[in-house]
Order: sequence, then structure tokens, then C-alpha cells
Amino acid sequence: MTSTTPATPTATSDASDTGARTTGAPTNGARTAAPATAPETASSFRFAWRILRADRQAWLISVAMWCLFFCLPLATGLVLRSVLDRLPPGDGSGIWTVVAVLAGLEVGRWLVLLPAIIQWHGAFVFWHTVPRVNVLRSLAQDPGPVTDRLPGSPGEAVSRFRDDARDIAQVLDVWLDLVAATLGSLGGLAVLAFISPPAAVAMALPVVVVLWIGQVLASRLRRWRMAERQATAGVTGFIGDAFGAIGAVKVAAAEPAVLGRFQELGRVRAAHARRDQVGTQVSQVLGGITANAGLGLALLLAAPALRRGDLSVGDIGLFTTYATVVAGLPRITARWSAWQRQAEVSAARLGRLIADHDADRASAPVTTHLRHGPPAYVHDVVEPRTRRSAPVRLERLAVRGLRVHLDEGDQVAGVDLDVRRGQLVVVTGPVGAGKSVLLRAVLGLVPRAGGSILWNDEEVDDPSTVLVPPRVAYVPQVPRLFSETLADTVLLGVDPAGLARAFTLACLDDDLDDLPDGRRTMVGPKGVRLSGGQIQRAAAARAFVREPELLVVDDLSSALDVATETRLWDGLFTAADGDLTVLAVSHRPRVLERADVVIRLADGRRRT
Amino acid sequence: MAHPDSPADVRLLATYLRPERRQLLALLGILVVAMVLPLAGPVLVGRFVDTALDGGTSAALAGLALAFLLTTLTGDGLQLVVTWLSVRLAWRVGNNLRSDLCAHALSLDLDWHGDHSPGQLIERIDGDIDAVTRFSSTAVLQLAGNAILVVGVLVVSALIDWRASALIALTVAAAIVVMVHLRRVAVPFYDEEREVQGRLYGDVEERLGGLEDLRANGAGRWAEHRLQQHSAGWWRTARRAAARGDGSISLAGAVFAAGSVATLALGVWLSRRGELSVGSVLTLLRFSQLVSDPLWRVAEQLAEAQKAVAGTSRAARLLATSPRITDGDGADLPPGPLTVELRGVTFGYGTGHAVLDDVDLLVPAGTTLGIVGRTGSGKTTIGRLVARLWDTEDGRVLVGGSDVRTLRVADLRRRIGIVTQEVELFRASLRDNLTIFGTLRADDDRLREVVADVGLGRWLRSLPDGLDEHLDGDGDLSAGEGQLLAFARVLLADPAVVILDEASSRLDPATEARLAVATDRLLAGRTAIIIAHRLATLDRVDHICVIDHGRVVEHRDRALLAADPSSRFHGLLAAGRAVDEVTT
Repeated sequence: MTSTTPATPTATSDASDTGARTTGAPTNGARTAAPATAPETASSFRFAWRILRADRQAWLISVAMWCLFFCLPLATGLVLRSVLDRLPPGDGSGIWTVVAVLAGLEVGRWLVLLPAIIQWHGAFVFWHTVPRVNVLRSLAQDPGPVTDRLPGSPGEAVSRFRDDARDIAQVLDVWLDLVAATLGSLGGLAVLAFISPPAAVAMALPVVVVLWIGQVLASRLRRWRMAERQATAGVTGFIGDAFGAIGAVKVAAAEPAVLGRFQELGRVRAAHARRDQVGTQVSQVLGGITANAGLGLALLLAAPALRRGDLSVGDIGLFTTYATVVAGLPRITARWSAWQRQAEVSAARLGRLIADHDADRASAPVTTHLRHGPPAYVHDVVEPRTRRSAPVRLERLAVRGLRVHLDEGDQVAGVDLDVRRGQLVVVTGPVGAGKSVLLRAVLGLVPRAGGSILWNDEEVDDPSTVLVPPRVAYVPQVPRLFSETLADTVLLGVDPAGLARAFTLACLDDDLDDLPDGRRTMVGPKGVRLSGGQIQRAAAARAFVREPELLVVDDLSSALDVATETRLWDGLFTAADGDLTVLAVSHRPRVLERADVVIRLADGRRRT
Repeated sequence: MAHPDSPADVRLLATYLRPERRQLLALLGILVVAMVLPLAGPVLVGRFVDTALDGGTSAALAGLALAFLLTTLTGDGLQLVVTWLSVRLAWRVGNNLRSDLCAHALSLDLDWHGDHSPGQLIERIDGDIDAVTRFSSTAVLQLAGNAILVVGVLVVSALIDWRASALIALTVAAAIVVMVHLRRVAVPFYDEEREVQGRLYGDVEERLGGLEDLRANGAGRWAEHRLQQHSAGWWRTARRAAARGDGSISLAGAVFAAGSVATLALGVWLSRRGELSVGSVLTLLRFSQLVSDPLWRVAEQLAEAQKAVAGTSRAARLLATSPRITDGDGADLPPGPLTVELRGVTFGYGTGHAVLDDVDLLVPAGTTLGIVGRTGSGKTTIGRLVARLWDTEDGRVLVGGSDVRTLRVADLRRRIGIVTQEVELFRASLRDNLTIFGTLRADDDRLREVVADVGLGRWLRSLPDGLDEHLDGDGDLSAGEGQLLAFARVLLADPAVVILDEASSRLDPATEARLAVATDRLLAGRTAIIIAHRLATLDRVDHICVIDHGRVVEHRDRALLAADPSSRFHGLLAAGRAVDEVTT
């Protein structure tokens, strides 16, 4: 008989609890962000619905529990009415039985809640996980470059995974409340209409008015929310940037300046957040106002009937209980429309991370392994090079008229090159000549504006999925290691059989002896605990362990001394016994000397 | 891990709330009125029923109903005022705490940053504090306001019947015991859940940063596997935390429901004995439910509080992590070029393995020293020790004759300029990138001058917004261009000691040659340490030091070493030159 139904006494934070969210500020990512054709919003209803369908059972269990929880007060109201009517001057027969029923209903209602909440938490995690897995899968495995999909910084991208996924999960959660509250509210009005039509009207009237006010407020609240999120994205993006470059900050003794900027961004954000939170609170308080206004009006209208004896004391008791239940609707509706619209932006943002910006793919069904964890990882077996089939085996890589157009002007303007089996082809040229871009374009990591790539004279439409191991492996100019053991960050899922050989070829054996746990040493974020040379050689080992037909190396030696570099190349060529094919960027005389073909680039054009 | 309820955490919050005492008191005043007004509601409803049963007039009934509307709606309005004030308070307190955390994290050693990704710091500095501020603004007030409401209910109900009041008090006490007890149990589980989430986001951030490495090496499936693992971890911890945290809510709800039914039963019994009117039974019942409402809000806030306490304890832990590298007494460095000296320096990043082993090195003021050696021989470490990014494990580093540990860190670093192979740019304007958010003071002409000096003048002129051009982090510039900007930073900083750590490694020979003029200007009249494996870079240094396995194996005048056929440097030089002559 808790007439005051806490709408959701669960961990479902309401719309005001979202100060921490970060979003991709459109201004920041404009340069690399989605093309103008990408929609700003996507149907959050469709997005959430598709996730709901992925595990219908979980959602249905939750919604059944929630409905039970919301609607039981309707029963307790009726039982309370019958208690009050039995009080003097009523006859009092069987009153204690009725009180006992009431006790059972009320206590039972709360005990239902616990399993419901635990179950809900599991489902809540599932709703987050579906878009996350889809998006990561698309980013890491789909055809085509990702440069036009990712926002400016990894910090910003991670906020998509964190906050945008949460927005979608919140929509699914608020649907639970909405279904349950609507059922409770309409059910309450129906019972009231049966007992006293004027009272039903009195309680429905404030609900209608408040729903209308909520509608009017909604667009304003949405604008405020957007502004708040942009300001928040500014703050979190800045934290990510500043601490991502903490070395530079420290060397320059720039800590005070960084802090000053952080505080400035914080002040701007606080102003937006205050407005947003108070606005949201208004719609919350409207809920309480609805209940009180409904009850007050009902009493006012019911007074004559009560005097006439058409209404009983028990009916008044029932009004007090039902006023709160009926008034639950506007509050939930306000939350619902706020989240639903909020999530439209989130759904579109998640969609933009997918190839072709297809929001449906972000909400596609995926297998998750939440309860038991994913099955043990089956390593990719590296097939011996001798056993590879003709289409995989490299005879010749040909690039024809390759053009890359990233910002203003061409970074690569019509380059031809050929790499034949067994050759070392070196690309060299001044800074900004487009050497790295050329390699990345060949690998399909940046979009091509024109030209073609042929593997054994067969045109490769999507190099990003074809020119990968076992055909090609890549050592980037600035390699990234991940926070895991050295072995794991080199293997990245490849069968560990070739690991020792790869370490040796990368001249890492001596370093392994010096590391505290050898190949099981944890390397920190970006591998900061390793020296620059070690990081680069670990990245080289990463490529070697895949035994590619073609090795693409971007300035491998920039962090290596002459002796180590010589040793590395010597070892590599000796081990390969003449069957090594490399496409490399380098300025090193040693490498240029060894090259079969040297390609000089300037301003994105081939000079030799 | 500190116990989450340890007084340190409470003290931390108290520190930040203390300056807001007056605001808090004013708020409390308004809150008292907002909380006491609703007490009139149940009394008026009870009166309404009794008046009707006693055959009161319609006018009397309507009056009571109107009074009900007036008082309760005024109470609701005051709630809004309270919200406005408390939200303002929350942001003041929260931003103060965020700012202090950010300042503290900035002060921590690179060693610590090696273990904490920027993604984790976003959670620590911002995510956690969000929960903390919501708690300190909303929950603190709710606790106080609702305590007032509960006392009010007990007083007013005692006026109706003391036994009912006692029963309500008993219910409240039982519910509080349940909530408090279970809350204690839940905190470590909330803590665990947030840690697991932190790891999940940290991993995602890293993978997204290294997407090209993953894609081009066919490792996408592996990244997904890791996400699945982390998500499963979150699922387990989330459910565990829910069982404890929300378990307290559910049990407390049952206690309230039982108490409320008991109050009704008491009312029924008294009413049948003729000691209580029917209206009063309804009033008491409403009161017994009214206390559940504020306690609910408190319970909701306690759920927040559980997160806030977890957040606070992490914040306290962060603030309690002291940097090992702290300011010395602040001896003044003399103006002009500074001598750099290492005396018996041993250092191994705390791993027990010495990267530098008993190294002695002297770079007289105004001279340049070239350091050569294999990768991993400890060259880079020397530069880091001179800038005091790490402290030696044994031995001393002296700059300008003072042990670096006696200097103020910022004073020292202001006099040292480093260009490393890792170029770190911010997503901010070119100007902010050059001056590092205004740390280096320079007018636009000077900025354009240094950019031109490093050979990026043409590039700068091509930017539509010039110095205000927004750079998109590492994405916008080639690695070589980034390195040139780092050179520009050092030119701007005008330091006494310059350390170039493979500074030109990503530059092609032609660009490097162009940069040579700027480098000469940079080195003139300054002490310099140049770490390089491209020996051509070392043509103009005064001395050469050859490092092997953390030890200085040769250290002499460059010309002497180059001329000495038995020296290692000579050997290296011969090997390098032979190749250079063939190709250039």
C-alpha cells in the first residue's frame, strides 16, 4: 500500500544523471568526420527495437516484472478501500483477513523486485554490448578505410562506445518503465471511472495538462542537453589529449597552462550543465504536482457525492493511493521522450562508425558471451609459405595511377609502382612527400581517390581486407602496442608457434633477456615502458610472425641505430633465403643501397 | 586498497564542502519549509473524511480540499528552488575537485602515467567525480531535508496517537539498519564494477588508437575477443553489485511495507475500540507511507552515495599517490648556458635491471655532446634524467652545478628543451600547440618566425586559419612535420640546455639539411646533448660519448675519437660513411 510508488528504485539513472557523458563535438571532428551525407540522427526507436529483438526473452522478463511492480498498488488500493469501509460505522466483519491480504501484497511486491533487478542488470549490460561488438567488428574487420569513420581522437571514439551505447541501453530501459507506467496509469483511471467518473476526470486532467507541458518543454530540454554534451565532450577530449601527450606537457613545464585550459572548459560546461539539470528537474517535479493536483481536484469534485453517501470513506482511501499511480505517467513520459530523442543522435553516431554509416548494422544481432565469457580464442594458424595457393602467393604487386586526396590537394598524385617477388622496393623523398600515405593507400587504410592495385595482375577492389596476412603484413611508422604481454601484443591472435623466430628476426632476443618477465612482460599503454627502438622492433616482430608474402614497412629504422638495423635486415634476408618481398619507406643509405628499386617521391609524385 | 569508508574519504569530501557552509545552510532553510508543508496534506485528507462522516457542509469540505491543493503545490514549487541552488553548488564543488585531480594527475611521474591510460584518467577525473558531485549536492541536502520530514511526521503523528508514532519510528529505524548494513556490503562490489568498466574502456581506447595496426595485420577478430571478455567481466560484476546494492533497496521496501500495514492494523484496532477517528486512521497510514518516500529518496541517494564513495575513495587514492619527483628548495639556476653532469648514475626504471650503470658524464656549459650507442643502450634515459622526468636510483644529476633534486622542477624544465622521436600534438590550434596553451609567451610574429625557421613557413601560409588552424592531433601532420613543430617549440622556449633525442629520425636528409640552419641557431651558445644513430647528425658536436649496455665506453673530443682508428666511434663512422658515399 505504498501510495508513493518510487517510479524506479533501481539503478536506472534518470536523464539528469548524465553529466559525465561525452560526445563527439562536431567541431572537433569536422575534418575527418563523416561526409556531409551522413545523417545527424537515426531512428533510435528502430535501433533499440532491433537490440530488444536480439534477446526478446530478457526484455520480456523485465517488462513482466516491472508491470507487476507498477500495477500491484492498484490491487492494494482496492484492498485498502475494503479495510476502511469495514471500520466504524461499518460492520467490521472479516477485517483482519483483509489486512493480512494487504500485508501479503505489499511485502510480496518488494520481494519480487530483487530477482527482477539482478536480471535487469544483466540485460542492461547486454544492451550495451550489442552495438559495441558490432561497431568494433566493423571498424576492425569491414572492408574499406576507417579514416572517414573515426572521430578525431581515440578518447572521443571511446565516448561513443561508452556514452552512446549507454543512451541506447537507457532507451530500452525507459521502455520498460513506460509500458509498466502506462498500464498502471490507465488501469488506475479505469477503476476510478468505475467508482466515480468525476474523480477519474479530476485525476486525468492534470496528467493531460502536464503531458502537454512536457511536450512544450521537450525541444528546449533537448537543445540544452545537446549544448551540455558538447561542452562535456570538450572537457573529456581535453583530458584525453593532455594526458596522451603528458610527456610533452611535462618537458615544457606546461602543467599550469594545461590546468588553466581545463578549468576554463569546466566553467563553460558547468553553465550548460546547470541549465540542463534544472530543466530536467522541472519535468520531474511536474510528476509530484500532478499527483497532488489530481488528488486535490478529486476531493473537491467528490465532496458532494461523499455527503450524499454515494462515495464511501474507503473510496477516498483508494483515491489517495491511485493519485500517485496515475501521476506516474507524465514523469515517465518526459523521461522517455528525452531519452528517445537523445538516443537519435547516439544511434546516428554509432552508425557513423560503421561502413556506409549504416545504423542497422550497429544494432544487428550478435552472439555475446556474457554469462560464461567467450570461448577460448582459436588462434589463426600461419600457413607455411610453401603451401600457399597461387592466388595468395605473390608474384607481382602493381600499383597504377594511385591518387589520394585527403584534405586540400592530393597527397599522392598518380603514382605507379611494381613490386616483384623477391624484390626490396624502397620509397624515399622529403617530409610531406606522401610516402606514408602512399603505403597506407596501397593497404587500403586511407581512401583512394583514383588508380588501381593489382595482386598478381588481378585487380584488388578492397585492399583493406585482401592485402592482409598471409598476403601482406605492415609495420607502421608510429606503431601502437597495447596494454598486454609483449607476446600477446606481437601475436594479436596468431598461433604462437612462430613467436621465437619472429623475436629473433626482430633482434629482440637481447631485449627479452633484459625485460623482467621476458616475453610475458606487460607493456603499458602504447608500450611506454619499452624504448622507441623496442616498440618499433616489436611491431616488426608482429609483422614477421605472420610470415607474409609481402612485408610493408614504413620507416622501420627511424628508431634503430645503424648496427641493429643492419643486423635486422641481414637476418631477415638471410632467413628468407632470397624469397623475401618488401615494400619499404626509408631514407637510410643502407636500405637504399640494398634496394632493387628506389622510388623517389616529391609532392605526391614519383620523381624517378 | 583503502577501505571505502575510511575517514580519509569522508575528510576529502568535507574539505570541498566546507567553503560552501553558508550556501548549504541557506539551502537547508528553504528545504525545511519545502519539507514541512507536505505534512499538512494527510492531516487535511483525514479532516476531510471526518468532516464528511460528521455531516459537515460542502463548503467546509471544499475549503479543506483547496487547502490541500495550496499547501502541497507550494511545497512542490519550493522543491524547484532547492534544485536550482543545489545544482549550482554541485558544479562548484565538483569542478573544484576535478581541477585538483587534474592538477594532481599532471604532477604525477611519467612512471605512473605509464600504468594509467588517458582513457582511465577520463574516468578518474571526470566519470567518478560526477557521482561524487551529485552526491554532495543532492544527497547531502536530501539527507538533511528528509531527516526533518521524518521528525516532523513523528511529531505530528504523536499528536494523533503516540503508539502509532512509535510504530512509525520503529519502521524507520529498522529500514535504516537494513539499508546502512547492506550498503556497506555493496560498496566494494560497486568499486569492482567501475574498475572493470575502466579496464573495458581503456582497452577499447587503445584498440581504436591502433586500428590500422590491427587491420593491416589481420587482428580484428582478436580485438573483438578482448571486448567480449571485458563485457562478460562487466556482466558478472554488474549482477554481483546489483544483488548487494539493489538488494538493500528491495529489503528496505519490504520493511516499509510491513511497517505501513502494521500502522494500519494498529489504526484499525484503535478505531474499533473507539479511540481513533476513521480520518485519523487514514492520516496515520499516509504518514507511515510519507516516511517511506523521503527514506526512498535517501535510499536512491545512498545508491548514488555508494558510487560516490567508491568514486571518492578512488579520488582520495589518486590524491594520495604522491609524485616521487618533487620540487627541491629552489636553488636558482644561473643565467646563460648550463653545465650538465652525471655522477655515478645508475637507473633501471625500477625493474632491477640497470639501463644505466654507474655512468659519469660531463657536458661543459655551451658545448655539445653527441651520444651514440645501440638501441636500448640507455641513450634516451640520459635525456629523461637530465630533465628529471625520472630520478636516479643511485648517483646524481647536476645541472648548472646544482643537483636537479634541489631545484624546482618547473624551473629546471623551463631551462631544458627536448625534442624526442615521439611527437605529441594536441587537438587544438597551431598556436596552442606551439606555445603549449600559452606556457611559452610569444607574439604572432615570433610564432611565424620560428615556424619559418624550421622550414614550415610554406605550410603555415597554406593554412586557411593560419596560427589559429585547428590541428587534429596526430592525424593532420606527417610524422616529420610533427617533429619540425617540436623543433619550433624548443626554438620558442629558448632553453639553456637542449636535448635532441633522435630528433631528426623521421626527417628525410633534404629536410634535415634545411633544418640544420635552425639547429645551428638552436645550439649556438647552449649546452646540448644530441642522441642519434645517424652519425651525420653528429658532425658538428664537440664531444662524443659511446654508450653500450648502460655504460660509457668512450667519451672524448669528437675529432680525436674520429681520428683514432682503434675507437669504436671510428669504426661506426667508417661503416656509416662507406654506405653514405655509395648512395648520396
